[in-house]
Amino acid sequence: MKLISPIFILLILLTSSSLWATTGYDISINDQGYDLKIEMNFSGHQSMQSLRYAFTSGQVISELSPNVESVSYSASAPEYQALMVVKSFGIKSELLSKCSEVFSEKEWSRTCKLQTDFLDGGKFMVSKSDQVICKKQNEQLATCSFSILGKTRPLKLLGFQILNARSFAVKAKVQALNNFFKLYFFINDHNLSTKRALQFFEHSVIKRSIDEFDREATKILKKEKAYNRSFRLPENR
Amino acid sequence: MIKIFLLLFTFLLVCESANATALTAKFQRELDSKTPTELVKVEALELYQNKDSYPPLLKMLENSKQFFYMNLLSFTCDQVTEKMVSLLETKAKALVDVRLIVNQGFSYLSMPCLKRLKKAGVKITKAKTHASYFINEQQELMIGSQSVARMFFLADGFNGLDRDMMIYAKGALATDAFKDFLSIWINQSKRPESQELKNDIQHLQTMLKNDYQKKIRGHALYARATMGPERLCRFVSLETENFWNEITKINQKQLYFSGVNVEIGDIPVGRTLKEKSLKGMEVHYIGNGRLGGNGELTMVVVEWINDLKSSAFSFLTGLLERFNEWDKSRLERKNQEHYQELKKDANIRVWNYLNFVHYKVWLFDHPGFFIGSANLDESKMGKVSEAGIYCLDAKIHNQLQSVLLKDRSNSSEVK
Repeated sequence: MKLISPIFILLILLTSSSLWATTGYDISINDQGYDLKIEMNFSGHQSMQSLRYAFTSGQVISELSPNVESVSYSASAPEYQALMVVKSFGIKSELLSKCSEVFSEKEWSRTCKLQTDFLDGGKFMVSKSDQVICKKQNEQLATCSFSILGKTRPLKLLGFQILNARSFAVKAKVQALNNFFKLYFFINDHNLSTKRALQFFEHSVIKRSIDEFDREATKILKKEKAYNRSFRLPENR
Repeated sequence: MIKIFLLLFTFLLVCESANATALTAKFQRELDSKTPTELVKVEALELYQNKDSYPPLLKMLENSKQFFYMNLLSFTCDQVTEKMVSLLETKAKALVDVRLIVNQGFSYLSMPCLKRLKKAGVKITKAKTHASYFINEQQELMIGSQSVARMFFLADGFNGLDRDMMIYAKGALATDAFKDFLSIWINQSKRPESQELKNDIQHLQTMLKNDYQKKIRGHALYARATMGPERLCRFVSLETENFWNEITKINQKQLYFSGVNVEIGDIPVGRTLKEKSLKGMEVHYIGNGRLGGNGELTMVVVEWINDLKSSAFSFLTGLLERFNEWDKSRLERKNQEHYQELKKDANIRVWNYLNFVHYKVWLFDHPGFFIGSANLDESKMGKVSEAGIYCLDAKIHNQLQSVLLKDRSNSSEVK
């Protein structure tokens, strides 16, 4: 009995969804660049193809992200180039990435690398790569993990520096966090409505956390050379 | 001689195996990885042509006890649709949840009709839709390209009205149609956080859960695709052109597709059709020529002409006839440009049906077919919501094959 109880508890823990990281993010910014990690948990039935659609559909991305004008692809999966046209600080930029995907009924992953030698990627970034891995943990739970690594250049306009590299990284990552978590609300609502997703996001604790990150990191990085932050959604949000 | 025979045998074997690509779990997995569609099993699948779709549609409506949802380009009240309109009113008054999504622009053509429905308790929303489907809580779905109007429910394919088709399905396809309907309804709603919508989403979650539990959705069905596929379908409402492209890529010998308009532009499926036609795949497009006119506009003008002939305003018939001829000529020129674009640098055969073809059907050489609302039209891509189904079913495939061959024989070829 004494031996069985710990095993029994371990079995319960192994099948419990709370073993997986809860929804949230970890970010660190320093002179070497930035490292952003995002975890998302989705309850209810989620197929890998509906997850994939939400993260790759140009229409969904541009409806949720006002700074993204369009996303287009050179070919269908698994290997292709993705062209994203964005508008930030009034500047229109074309960002080309090389992507590859792996798909199965229980797992979908995509890795993209920004092509800094082509179009506008190199104007803003020294390097950037991102990876998403989505897994169907069981019939009622799917998880997605994102890892975005990169190094920004200072932001210049007409030859004058507006933001140093660290501060530009903060602004860029605030934008990325906003975009990703709007997608989170869209997917959690069964990909039904970008309108609803935007409303949920606007009133969420996640948005408040991202706004706080923006304020705090901008202030700290004026004097310090590094900044870290973590946020996790409360269990009963 | 033996060498030639062996070569021929190997060649035929390769062709056959290529044809069987669609019937493999591997291909179903590939479709999952490239399109936002999911394989489902349905209990029943029936093809209806022209006016034959009306009685089963009325039966579906009679069967509805909890909800009856419609997503249509157009809804008209006339002497033929009166039976359906009255039944909708009865159902709505009996507190069946009756909802209609109707095309924003087309709704102005039937405002008194929509007002009548609204008064009876039918909830109506307007959207940029070109779809055509009906669903109820019995997991019944009727889908294709018909609107609710006399031109569809009086047509026999030869009487100058809409030559069209609808598919009836019972099963998990209705879950996907329900989700699609809800998505449009929510996006048009002024109160997307209302309790009614929360209940709708809860209902969707229950339907999905039931489908997975019954193993009538998803990868549990892959093996069935290889065992004489029967009633396996995918609901296609997002990125339809991309979906057609994936199926066309594995098609080998023969492909038929049809529609009201075809504007191939530079879309990938257009390039695939052209490339494959040059490599020996027979590609046939069934569309409209001068005899088809301008569809429902021509039909309405002809009705007016016939009504005016025996009236005090018979002097106006000449004017209307001239307008009709001008409109037909205008459209014929436009269509011919598009057909020449379709045939350019390709071996695609284009056919003009003797009446007005309205159905949007794709027939492949494996027992797969698509029926829905979308034309192969670059100018409309992504601008309106569409819906269709792709199914693997030998019985319906055979029916469609003889139907399309018959329509082709009642068409003239565009040179």
